[in-house]
Parts: sequence; C-alpha cells; structure tokens
Amino acid sequence: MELAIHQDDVNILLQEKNQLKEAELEKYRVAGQVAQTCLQYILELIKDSYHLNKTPQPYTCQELCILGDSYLKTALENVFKNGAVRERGIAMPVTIELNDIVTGFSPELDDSSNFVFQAGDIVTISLGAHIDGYTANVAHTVVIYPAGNDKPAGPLLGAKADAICAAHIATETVVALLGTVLSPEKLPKSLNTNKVVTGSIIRDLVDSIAKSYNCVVVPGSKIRRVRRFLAGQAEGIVAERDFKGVVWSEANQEESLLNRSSHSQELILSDNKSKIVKNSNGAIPTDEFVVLAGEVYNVDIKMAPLGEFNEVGLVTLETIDEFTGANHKKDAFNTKSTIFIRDIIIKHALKLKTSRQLLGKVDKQSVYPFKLSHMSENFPLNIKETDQKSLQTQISAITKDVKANRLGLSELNNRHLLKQKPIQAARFIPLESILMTNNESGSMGVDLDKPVLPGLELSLPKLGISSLKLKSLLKKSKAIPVARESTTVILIEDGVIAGGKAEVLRLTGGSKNFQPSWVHSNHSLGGSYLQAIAELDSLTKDKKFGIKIRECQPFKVQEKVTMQLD
Amino acid sequence: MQFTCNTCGLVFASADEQRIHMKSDWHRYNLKRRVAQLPAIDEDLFNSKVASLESQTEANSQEEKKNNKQLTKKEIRRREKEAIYEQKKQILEIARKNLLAQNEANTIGDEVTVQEEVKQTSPESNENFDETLTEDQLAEKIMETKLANQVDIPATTCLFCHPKEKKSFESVDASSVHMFKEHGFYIPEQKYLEDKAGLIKYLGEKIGLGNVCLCCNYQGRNIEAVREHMRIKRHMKIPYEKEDEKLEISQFYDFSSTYDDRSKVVVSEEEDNSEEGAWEDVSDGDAEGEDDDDEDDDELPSQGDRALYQDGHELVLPSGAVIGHRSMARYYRQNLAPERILSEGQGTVIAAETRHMFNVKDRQELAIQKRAWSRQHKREDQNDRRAQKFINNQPHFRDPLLQ
Repeated sequence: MELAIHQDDVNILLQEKNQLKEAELEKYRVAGQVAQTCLQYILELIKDSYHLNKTPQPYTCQELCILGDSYLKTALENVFKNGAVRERGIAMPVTIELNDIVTGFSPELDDSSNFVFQAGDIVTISLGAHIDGYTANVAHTVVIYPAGNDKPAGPLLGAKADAICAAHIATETVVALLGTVLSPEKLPKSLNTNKVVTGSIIRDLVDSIAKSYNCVVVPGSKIRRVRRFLAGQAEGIVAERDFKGVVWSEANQEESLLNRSSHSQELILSDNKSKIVKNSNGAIPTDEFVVLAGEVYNVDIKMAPLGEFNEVGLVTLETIDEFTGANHKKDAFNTKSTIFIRDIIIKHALKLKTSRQLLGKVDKQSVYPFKLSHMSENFPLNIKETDQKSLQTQISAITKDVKANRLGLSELNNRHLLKQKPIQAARFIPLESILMTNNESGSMGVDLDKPVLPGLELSLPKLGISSLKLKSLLKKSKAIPVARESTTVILIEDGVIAGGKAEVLRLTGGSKNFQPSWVHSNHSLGGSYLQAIAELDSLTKDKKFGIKIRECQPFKVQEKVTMQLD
Repeated sequence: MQFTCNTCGLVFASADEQRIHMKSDWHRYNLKRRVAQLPAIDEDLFNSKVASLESQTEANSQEEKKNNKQLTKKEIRRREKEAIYEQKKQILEIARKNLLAQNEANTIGDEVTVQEEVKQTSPESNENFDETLTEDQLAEKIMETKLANQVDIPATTCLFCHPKEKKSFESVDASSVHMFKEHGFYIPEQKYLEDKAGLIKYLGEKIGLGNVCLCCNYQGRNIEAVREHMRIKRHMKIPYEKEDEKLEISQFYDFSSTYDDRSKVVVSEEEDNSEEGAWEDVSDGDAEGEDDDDEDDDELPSQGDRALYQDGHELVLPSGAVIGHRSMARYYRQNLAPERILSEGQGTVIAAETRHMFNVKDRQELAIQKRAWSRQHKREDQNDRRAQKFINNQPHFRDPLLQ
C-alpha cells in the first residue's frame, strides 16, 4: 500500500486520541447535543406536518433530509468557534426510512419521487454528527398516526408494534448492560458472566428479547465500539483494525433456524468450525471480546417482526438500485443511492475537470459519508429564513449544483474512488425456497455491491448459500417492516471528570428525550433472560444504588421554526 | 679622487688608464669570474691562461684538420663526453675550494650570526640509492636526506635572497616589505592575516626543507636550485586563486568577522519578511523547482543573499530558481503528482485499515486463477468467432428466390 502511517502516529491516532479526558468528553457531548437537537427538529417537523396538519402539503422525504442536513451543518458551525477543532461535520446524512427500508434512503433534491408518509407507517430517522472525529450517531423510529390531535387516538397494533417494542427494550437493556461495566458487582447474577460483559452475553440478551416479541434481529444490526473517526461509517469498505462489536448477519438466523430443526445435521453442507480464520489484525468480528470502561459504544438494533408470516424464513437485505432488468417487478420501489463515501486508499489520476474538483471538495470534508447536495456552495440552507421565495431560490441553486456534480461523480464512482452507500430494504425469504435451491456459483459467489464486514462474506455458511445466490432468491421474498433504534453511549470511568463519579453518558437517543411511540404489542417479555432484563431495568431506575445514566439534552430552541416549502 | 677597479682590485692614476683597463680582456674575464663567484686573478696568470688556451686550440684545430675524415661518429661523441666530464671536474674542484675557504672565514669569527647552515652531503650519495629498497624505505631515506639538507630560514629573513646577501631584518614586517619591494612578493588578504610570522615560516620551510617552488610544483635538488628557479621564473608569489590554494594557507587567516556579518544579514532578512513565501513562490513557478525535495528547499538561500549554492547536481540562482544538472534531466522531466497530505481523519482511517493484509496472494492460488481467466478468455474468443458467422450484415431482408 502506498499510504502508510508511521507506527508512532498510529499509536497516537488510534490509542492516545481515544483516551477519554475532559476535552474529548466535551467534544463527544457537544456532538451528541447537536445530533439530539437535529433529531428533535425533524421529529417536530414531522409532527407539525403529519399529525397537526400545519402545512398545506406534508413534507416530502427529500425536504426533510435537506432541512435536517442544513440544521446539522449550521448547528455544528456554531459550536467550538475558537478554531480548536479542525474537522467537524455531518457524520451521517439525515436518512428517513419508511417501513421496510433499513438504511441509506436519503433522496436528493432533484429526485422526482415525492415520498410522503401514510398513517400507520413506521419511519426511522437516522443521522450523525462529529466534532473532531468524536462521533454521535442516532436513529429513532416513530409511528405516523392519523392526522388530528396532538395526542394520537390510539396505539399502533400488530407486527410493527412488536418490532418497535423489541427494538426499544433491546436498546435500553443493552445500554444498562454496558453501564454495569462501570460497577461489575451490580451485574445480574442470573447472567452467569463472571463479572465481565462479553459480546456473547449481549448477543444472547438481544436475541432473547427479539424472540419473545416474535421478531428477528435484522442483518446489519450491531453493537460496536466507536473510536475517533471510526464510527462504522466505512463498514464494508475499510477492514477496521481491532474491531470490537457484536454483528448480526444472516448466518446467525441460519444457526437458530437449524437449531430448531431435528434434521439439521442433514442440511448442513459444510461446518466451518474447524476452519481457523487468521485474525491477527482483529478486523474479523467475533463475540469473544470484553467491554471495558472508558470505551464508547454505538448500539444500533433493527428488529423485523415475523407476525405476518406463517412460515419459517430468513430476513435478509435487498439492495435497491436502479435495476430494471427482466426480473424487475413493475410496481417495485426503485431508486438510486445518494450517499457516498470516499475510499481513501484508492488513488487515480482523473480525466474530467469536474470530477477532480469534486474529489477536491470531498477530500476537504472529512472521512464521513456525504451527499452531493453537501458539496454545493449554497449548502446549508438558511433555515431561519421565513421568506418563501428566498428558500426556493436557495433550493433551486443547490439542485443546479447537484446536477453539475453528477457528471464528476460518475467518474469517481467508476474508478472506485467513491463507494455508494446502498439503500437496503428488509426482505423475508421463506426457508423452503432456500432449501430447494441449488447453488452453482458455490461459496465464491460474493456480491461485491453489498458491504459486509470481513469474514462475513459468505451469507449462509452452513447451507453453502453465497450472497449472490441469496440475491437471486429475493424474487420469492416479501417486504418486512423494520424498527430501528440507535444510540451512542460513553462509559465514563471514575475520576475522568473532576469530582465526577463513574457514569454512563448517553450521547444520543434516550427515552427521556425521545419517548417511544404509543404502540401496543400482544407479546410480552419472556425467556430465560427475563429476570436479568428486569434487574437491569430496575438498576437504571434506581437513583441510589443503580447505574447512573445521563442523557445529553438537546439545545433549547429559542424560536419555533415554522418552515414552509412548496 | 681615486680611480679603481673593484673587480680586479687595482688603483689607477687617471681616468683614461681606468677606461683602458675596463676595456681589457683581463678585466672582462675577471667580471665573468665575479659573476660565477670566483676570486679575481692577476694579469700574469691571465696571460698564461690565454697562452695555454691558444696553444691548445691551435693544436686542436691542427689535429682536427688531420683526423677530420678519420673520426667516426662514436669517437666524436666520446670526446665530447670526455670534454664535458673534464669541465665538470674542474668546476667541482673550484667549488670545493671555495666552500672550504668560506667555512674557514665563518669559523674565524664573523660578528653576524650564521643565517644559513648548509650541511651538504656529496651529491653522489643522493644518486646512489639502492634500487633494492622498498618504497617506504626509499621515502624514509629521501626524508632523511632532506632533513639532513634542511636549511632553516627564520621569519625575519628574506625568503629569496642568497644568504650571502645577508638580508636579515629586525621584524617580520620589515622583511615582508623588503620582499614586496625587491621581489614583488605579495601576501594576499593582509586584512584578515592573523599569523604573518607563521605564514612566512611555513613558506620558508617549504623552500628550505621541501625545496619546492611556492608557485608551481617544481622541486629543486637543493635550496639554491629552488631559489634560482623562482627568481628566473618570477615565481616569487603565493598563488591564491583556487580553493585548495586558499585552503593551504587558510590556517594563518581568520575570516570569522566576515561570517558574522553574513549571518547577521540573513537573520535580519528573515525577520523582515516573516512569510517564507518569498522564494518558495519563485521555486514553485519554476518548472524544475517543483521537483525539489523539501530538504533542498531548506538549504535554499534567501533572495537577498546573492550567492550560488552548488550542491552536487543543483545550482541555486540568487533569484531562487534552481538549475539542475543535465544528467538528472530524466528526473526533472517527470511530472509527479503532489504528495497527498492527509487530514487527521484520513490518517486515522488508514491507520486502522487492514485491507492490504488480505490482499497477500497465495502463488498457487494466483496461478489457478490465471489459468481460469485464460480459459475463459479463450472460450469467449471462440464464441465470438462462431457467432460472427451468423451475423447478418444485410440492412434489409432480401429473399434469395426473388433475386
């Protein structure tokens, strides 16, 4: 590799800068505040537009995205103004996913499809902000109720409600479990953990919660350690050294499905247990890690309910692209991805002037994903502006820049300098169709468009189904809604803050700031971990002897922004 | 008023007599003897010498006339050699006599200190080196003889005058003034000269011990020869043009005052234009300057310092432009992209990147892969050729039956 960093610098960048002191904590905290405020702002917009009908037309997805991004950008520019921070910006552009869409849906301004929500939809808003590389990501799922009063007429019922419940409870439980790292004596005895929190315990807990709500943890969910500039933004592109986290993939579902079957041994094509994977760099995720105090974790849990399906099956992700071939269903949702990330190690002499200019802009911003509209001179929008006309001119200016940048983008994309973040939707494939298929391409048929962590390239290792084969099976799949909760927590040790005790700082999310939507699930918690989950819940509520969890509060909004577009 | 002849040691009664004497052959002969530093002879001796010489020449001429035709070339050469040998012998004899006389005179008690002590060994001994000696021993022997022949010239004495002339002065300055006026011996950069006595002593050693000319690399047999050489060739000067020539006598000089000046100037200039951009821009604008390494940039002089810095293959002009050597042209012509400067975030991501570890390829695996690719390529090629047969190039369908 041409680019190499000296070992001393590696130590500084990966270790020293990740040791939490007051300055670093402050940056994390402010990044968390910005993310919280932006999430609140978008939720307000949705509430005003869809629940209270304050706007003549409801906000479309692209409007919400550009408004959210502008809000984030402006808010980030207003903090740490003394120049102490070199890099700051949007760690994850605002994406708004509807029902079965899982990640990456953030339509550009010139997108012709005007996405609006219907009552009964579940909408996930996810975004992220970073200050000097200290990143706070957040995602929250809300329910769109029928328009009318401030308070919805009744709770959401059905499968979607199960998913929202499961995601919320799993997130809260995992945050509490991570919090017990600071005082291991408080760990519930029923967990039998030997006073340490390991990856396998986290996985078991989340799986049991999902099972009791008749849900499946969607592939791509993960609970991972966050380091400076390494918040999972380039997963599937960068093979990150010393990866620490629990990752859910199709292989986990396969394992549980096989465990349920009495004839599982006959189905197993190959057992990779004997195969020793070389993992000297720690880039391949395993569950054999121990959560330590002083680390930052991002809890990102996506739940898909199985209530609507009577058969056994597998939940996987479909990449939505502009494919319009023979297999394309006429009514299927089709769009192109709008979020891109720079693959830094790739170098290429570009031919087009526009692409060179665009690459210059991209390299100037940080290592996080971006949208074309962020590269415009006119971004961010001045959202304080109440004048209808000036907003429209700003938006049309950005749209014009986006169109100009598209030309350069294609060359960057073709030369692999940029990778697009796929728009993924959750799909349910019946197990029967998987078992009936034969896989000619063998285990080497890896779908290169699908970003996966190293070591997880083979989708179903035991059944010998590669990711390309699984992609072809999507014809027989059905859409399945997904609820997602993502939060970033810091496990602060004793004495890091002057006079402060050990505590969990929850940068983003949190039920105090973002109450879960009113839903009602027919299922209730159960399973072998019921007692442990109840103990962890009571620990978070116990002010005196429990775990102290502090939530980042959003900024106080001085004036209510009444925004009108169209 | 006396009319004398110093050469022949005579006193005349009148000027005419003196004039007649001065025109005589005797006087001329004595003059020549004086030049050769031989004592004058009296008139009788002169006449007898002339008579013997005439008879000899007559005899010679007669003999020549007689034997002219019979003499072979070999014989003529032999005779010539004999004559030369004879002459040499005579001269050496005279010189030895002179020397003995001089030594006696010195020991009798001259008031003037002995300036030069000539310890002469017979010149034959120099020549009779054993050829069986090794080089080291030879060098040692040469050194020994040189040390034995050493002539010590004090700093207050003229370097070029013969000791007989007794040009010894009270101070070094006086002697240098003498050397300047009489011999045109100029000492360069007197302003910065620290150790004048040392310099002159060094030069004296060079002449006295090394028997080397100051100006060229002529090496005389002895001090007299060197002095004669320098006097004839007007080599009575210190060469001060090339670097090594300057370095040779640099130990007697002190130029530190000039260094101080220069460094002060540079510092003040740096303070003046605190922006480094001044010359960087220039080198940026220059096509060749772009290829410079950072190290070279550091060494570049500031613009005000009008100097040419030559480091191997590059010449830095006062304008800041860099001229490269022709032999490096292929490198200057390369149009390399500027080095990427990574931000902290990019650096972190690359530091955490392990993808290149996975790319380490197994040779066997690669060979299999290559075989597979080539097979696939071949198959495609075959397919294409087969398909070409069935390509219909007709723009419109024509029924062959209707043609």
